[in-house]
Amino acid sequence: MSFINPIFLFAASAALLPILYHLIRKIRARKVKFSSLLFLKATPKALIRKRRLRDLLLLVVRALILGFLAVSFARPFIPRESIPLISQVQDKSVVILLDNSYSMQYRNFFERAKEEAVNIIDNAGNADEFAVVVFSEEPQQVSRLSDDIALHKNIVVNAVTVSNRITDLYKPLRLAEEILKDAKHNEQQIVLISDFQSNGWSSQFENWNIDQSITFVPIKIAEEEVTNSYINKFDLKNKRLGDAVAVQFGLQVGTQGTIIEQVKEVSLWINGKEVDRKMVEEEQSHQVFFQQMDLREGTYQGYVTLNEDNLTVDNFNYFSFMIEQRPSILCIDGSTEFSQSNAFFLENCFYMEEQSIYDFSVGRKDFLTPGLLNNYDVVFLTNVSSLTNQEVTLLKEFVEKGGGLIISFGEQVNLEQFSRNLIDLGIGSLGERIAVRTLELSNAIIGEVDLKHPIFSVFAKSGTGDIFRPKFREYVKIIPDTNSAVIGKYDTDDAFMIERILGEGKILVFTSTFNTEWGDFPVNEIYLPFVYQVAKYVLASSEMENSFVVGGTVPLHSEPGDEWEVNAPGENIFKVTIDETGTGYFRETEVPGNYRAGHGNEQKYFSVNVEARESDLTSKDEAEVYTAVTRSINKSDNEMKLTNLSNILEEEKNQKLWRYIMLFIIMLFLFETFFANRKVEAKSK
Amino acid sequence: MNYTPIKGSPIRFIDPEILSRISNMELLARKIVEGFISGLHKSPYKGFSVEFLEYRPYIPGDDPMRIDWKLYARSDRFFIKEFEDETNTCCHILLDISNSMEYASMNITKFQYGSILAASLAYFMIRQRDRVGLYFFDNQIRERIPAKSTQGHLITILHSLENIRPGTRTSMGRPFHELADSIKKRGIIVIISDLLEEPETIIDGLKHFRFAGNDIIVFQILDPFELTFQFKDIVELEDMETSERIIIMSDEAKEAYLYNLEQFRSILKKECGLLRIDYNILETNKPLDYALFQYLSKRSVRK
Repeated sequence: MSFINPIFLFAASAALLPILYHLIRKIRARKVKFSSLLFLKATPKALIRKRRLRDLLLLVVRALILGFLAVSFARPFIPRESIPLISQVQDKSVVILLDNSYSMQYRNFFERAKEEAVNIIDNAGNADEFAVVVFSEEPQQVSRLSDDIALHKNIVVNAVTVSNRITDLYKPLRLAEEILKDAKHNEQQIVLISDFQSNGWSSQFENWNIDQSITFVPIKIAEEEVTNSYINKFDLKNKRLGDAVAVQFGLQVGTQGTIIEQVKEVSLWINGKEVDRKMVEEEQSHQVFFQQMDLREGTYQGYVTLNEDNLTVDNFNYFSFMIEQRPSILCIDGSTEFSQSNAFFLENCFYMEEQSIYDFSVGRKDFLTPGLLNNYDVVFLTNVSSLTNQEVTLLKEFVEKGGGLIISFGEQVNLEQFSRNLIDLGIGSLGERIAVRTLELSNAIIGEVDLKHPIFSVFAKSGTGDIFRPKFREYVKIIPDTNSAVIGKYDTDDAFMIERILGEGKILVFTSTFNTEWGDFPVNEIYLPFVYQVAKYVLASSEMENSFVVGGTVPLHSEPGDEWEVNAPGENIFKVTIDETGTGYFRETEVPGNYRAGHGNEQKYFSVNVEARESDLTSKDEAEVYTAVTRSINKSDNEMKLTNLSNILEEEKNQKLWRYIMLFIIMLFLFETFFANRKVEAKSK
Repeated sequence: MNYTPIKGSPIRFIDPEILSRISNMELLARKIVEGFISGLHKSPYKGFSVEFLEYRPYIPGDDPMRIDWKLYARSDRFFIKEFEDETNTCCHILLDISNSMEYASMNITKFQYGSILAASLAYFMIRQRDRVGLYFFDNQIRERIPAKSTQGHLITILHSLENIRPGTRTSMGRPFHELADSIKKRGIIVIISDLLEEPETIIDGLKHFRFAGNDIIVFQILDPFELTFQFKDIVELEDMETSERIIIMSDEAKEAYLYNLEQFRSILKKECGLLRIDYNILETNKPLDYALFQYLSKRSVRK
């Protein structure tokens, strides 16, 4: 038996002893000298004996009354562990957090974690309640707080699977706290079963610790020595060589763990075939490069893979890429003569015979027909006097579908009419033609560009200000529309280049000429890279992002209401419907691999990979985890004491032994009163 | 434990417990007597008077306090007033010194109380110019101080009272008879005892005194506990004289004890009444004034 206020027992002892002494004295016969026994007779011994027995009994009863009174004030209770046949464990509410991030795929970690969870559930008390939460990047409560042990066990054994996601330990702990707010027992626990990866601990733990009333139980699933190799980085570069493209696959192999093991080899698979295999050399910082030359137009999906180890999911990196037909450029030049025309200089830039990256053609305005335009990816519209409404419409449609339109000027341009064309295209209105020398007594140069813009970014790397060298004698002033943006200016502060994004394509307006008519740009060394950057830029928007991480969202674009069918790894097929904004989102990216989405004749290919940082299996030990969650090792002792005190008070409150003791005291008191006075009453009779 | 004075009487009383602390017997006796007399003069005392008898010429050695100055003023001669109580009475004080007299439930034993009473009486008697004798007895006469009336004799009496030690068992028959035979001249016999003996023995002795023509005053001195028997629970009592022991249940024995005591007192009272003996019970927690009053009353009747 234990007591809430044991001090009462000591106090009672101090008070009880003299009383007991007095009572004991009463039993024994006092020896007294008396003057004379003349008037007295000895009481019969039998009566004396009877009286002594009675006094002794009364002594015991009175001592019991005092003793039990003290015990009652001391508030006794019987600790559960002292009661036989009663469960030693107090009823509690438990949230089990089960780590199912992909690091738990290491060997049999996840199976062991499930066994731990099942073990905890199996050892539950009769009234214990549980909730199960699995977590990786996001926590997911798979069973609600209840005492249905069979259900929880079934879910853990059969329904819970490991994921391919990374670890975040903060969110599940917060969720567990929230769940326990509805707990019905005072004793509350959060059991965290995990490999306690170091990467799973964010800076959020610095500003938070678990509620002190909750017992935190970390269970680590780990091994003393871990080995793991994985693909840390992967990139893909392609280079067009005429109709063919050369693709370089570069990857870095990471090795982490307590024992670093050499990775033996890496394989490259494309479209289901192993195309190359290489050894990994430590001297080369574990970097491996593959090259595939002469890839033609088509879609390619594949992966690079390491030899098998204890964690295989991070040994693969999937990729998807498309090699399109060589881009075609149409140059419509309004010049009357080819020689020294814009087309002349542009053709000289783009045409490299078989090595040409682009297929360059020169045409006239009558090429602006739907049938012809669809054969091209980029249109240079240079020195054209004006456009008809139909031609404007055609060009707009061309751009909206993903084409690139680059407009420049010259002597043939009818400023008034062309201004209306530009307004229709949403570029802006034309101002006057500026003869710079007349105004400034010198030529204009490019005075200001956005060096972060893809067109000009290559010039920023040179660091020599090459972009500012070309001189321009004349240009056309443009007042840009609100839908267009000035991406470069002359030193006269007039627009040098204006951009407008229209649908899936872009329109660029260069306010001077691509020939030497209005400046010396074509003879400047930056002319060639500039022209290539411009062409490349207007072509880039057609490319879809094709690499995602597990759990990522893949956007699909088409007409509202369209339904796409997505083929996922494992021969799973999903449907995605495009919403009114023209976008549908595919979210079933839990499995790493190559995916294919199709709608009608349109196909899109993309790849999903795990995040490499989860492959670092460095972990914290249980003590570190406990400290990180509870914030203090010493505090846990106090927390335990507080929890114990709370449990003790609850137990005493439940048992209420003091009531029964008081009842017993009252009965004793009644007995004592009756018994002590019984002799007197008899005598009265 | 103060004596409750006679209703309406302003007599001062002295707590016997306080008196017991005064070791000087003479001082003690004087204090009691003078206090008594002082109180006596202030009260409209009824039933007692000291009457004027006659004048006689002053003889050197007489107490100058007794000179009647009014008569001197008239006659130019010294005369002494003689009162009725100035007759030369012989008093014998018998003090019980048996072991039972040593009993005390408070701070004063029955013997101490009896001694103070005897001293006070002797002091008072000699002051009245009576002759006083003192006899200590238990189962026999232990010490005799024959009656005299001088101041020096008083000193002797008081000294003996201070120094006497308790005796043994009580047996009044022999000492009473012995003394009754030895006293030739009739006088007043004052018996101070707890009388814890068979009543027949006591009565027999008293009869002998009475038949010799003596006036007898009996003071039975008892402790309050002896009169009320306030013991609790089981008690083992030991007789102070015989060392006999008995175990009693107090609440059971009390009733019988009180009954027996009452019976004893009734017998004594009745027999004393028949013999015209003053029988008085004194409790050791009561003042001594009452005893003195009893004595004086007896003297006046005798005259």
